[in-house]
Amino acid sequence: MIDPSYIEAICTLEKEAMPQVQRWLADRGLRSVPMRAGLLVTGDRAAFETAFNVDLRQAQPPVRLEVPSELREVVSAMEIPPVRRIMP
Amino acid sequence: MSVPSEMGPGQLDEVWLPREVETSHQIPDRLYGYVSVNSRGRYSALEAEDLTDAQPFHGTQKDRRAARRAVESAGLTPTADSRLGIAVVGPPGAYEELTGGEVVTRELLCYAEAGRRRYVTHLDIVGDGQPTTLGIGKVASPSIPAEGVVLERPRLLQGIFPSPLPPPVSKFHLRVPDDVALLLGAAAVHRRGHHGDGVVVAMVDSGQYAHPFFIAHGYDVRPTVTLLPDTDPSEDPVGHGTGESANIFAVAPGITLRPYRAANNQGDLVAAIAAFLRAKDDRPQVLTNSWGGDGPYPPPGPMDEWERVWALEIRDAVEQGIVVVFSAGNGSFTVEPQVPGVLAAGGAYVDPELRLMASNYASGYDSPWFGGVTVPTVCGLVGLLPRAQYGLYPVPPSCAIDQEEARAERGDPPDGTREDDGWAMFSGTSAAAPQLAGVAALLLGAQNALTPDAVVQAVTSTAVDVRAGRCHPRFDNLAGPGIDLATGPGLVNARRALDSVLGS
Repeated sequence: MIDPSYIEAICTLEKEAMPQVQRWLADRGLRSVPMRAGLLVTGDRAAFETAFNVDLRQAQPPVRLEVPSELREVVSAMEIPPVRRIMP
Repeated sequence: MSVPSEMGPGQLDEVWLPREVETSHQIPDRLYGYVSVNSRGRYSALEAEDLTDAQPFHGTQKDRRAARRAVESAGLTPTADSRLGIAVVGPPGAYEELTGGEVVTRELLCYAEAGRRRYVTHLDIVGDGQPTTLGIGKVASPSIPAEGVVLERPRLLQGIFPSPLPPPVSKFHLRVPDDVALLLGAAAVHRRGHHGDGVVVAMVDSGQYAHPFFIAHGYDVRPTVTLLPDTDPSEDPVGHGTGESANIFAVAPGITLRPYRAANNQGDLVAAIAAFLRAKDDRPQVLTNSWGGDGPYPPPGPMDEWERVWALEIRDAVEQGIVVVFSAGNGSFTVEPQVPGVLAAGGAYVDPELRLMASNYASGYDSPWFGGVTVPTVCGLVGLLPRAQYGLYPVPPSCAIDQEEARAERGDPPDGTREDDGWAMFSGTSAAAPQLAGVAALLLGAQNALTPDAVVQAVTSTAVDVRAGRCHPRFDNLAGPGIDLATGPGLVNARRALDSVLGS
């Protein structure tokens, strides 16, 4: 089950489009950190649901979010990976 | 010296040691105290002999208000009010302003932790007209309706809890630091003066609790960086990070540990990737990770896109010169330990007769995604199925691991510790990863310029071959002479690895 207060997602995109995508995310209350080859996107569940027009209450990661039309040309994937687990 | 026979050890203390000594210990920045408002009755609360009725010592509402104003005007902050007085906190100067006296320290011989006697720092207010009673001061101005100011006395725990020492348990287990250090060849390295001094090891995990084990050993644990809002950096809800970090110090007691808490308050590692990025950005020399995911094996196809991005991020850390360690998995199949250049920590088991075999709890396979990569790279110490209870580790009392391991499960008897004693028996490749991180730190402490590849080369070329047992049944690879898919080249050995690095 997804934590309602914090979600990590990985965005695969064209590198030149990073500022544009980061602006788009920030406008929707989502934080982003550049990675070597993408963006780590974080925020609460409500912000993700609004930004990507999706209901995540019962979602079981991995979840592939539908990329909004305005980003479709530069973002190839936006995915919520499974929560990593400790290994005792 | 002759000692009167009727004297016990406590009394001897008093013969040889004065009850009070002068010191110049630093006065804390914030002092807690209590201001007693003038009593309605005949006697001051500070001089009262009959304590059967509190009512005569109540202050009037007017006096309480005036006393509060005076307290605030002196620079103290009221934290609670009662009908008798006001609890306050503030800097020493504020108490001096209120009383006209001077705040000083005194050392008093007290019964303290575990019934032992030691000098304990107390505070006093001294000066003209100040009472001689320790910790009591008079207000400077008669217009202030307060009988006196009381400085808080130290409240001493009557024992150290949780204990820095593990409880006695009958089930075979390894203790930290000594058994882990011995079996990994680190004890011999310590005797040669190598402790990983000053090497910074970052650990992304569930958190780090200030267990007395770490304090008693003098280990250098820096404040935890927490990635999630509304999570406490001093807490570890699971106990996993706290316990596993003891493995790093067992092998490299001189390191500086930087813990990163990726767990929410339920203990789920929801911010693992963000924590990894943050830790990487802080440029440690070693970055250890006892976590990962799980997916089908063999995988139905190539990596997902997010896995590629994530794998590149891990690879980037290696290329920046950080020794990155990931657990191989406890029967799980996940991308992290497969990333080229990562030290993937597998499991070897040493039994009570010092026989060495593959741990059937640890993953071992040929990477289907990265050519030439096998998991594990090398092994640490890991227990056996069903739940790998092996090392006895310090954890926050009553945390999830403390409770779970103390109960029988999957046909495995309890670990023999209590559910709330702050010690638990567990392992997994979660234990192996920080052990390898410790070995890497020892090598870097001796040769600061070693690259991650050189560290991998040193630990793999000198590992102790494991020739018996199988890895986790999901992969079911057999350990045999030489490199195999169950244990790689075998169990890491710090002494041999250091020799190879130093050329001795």
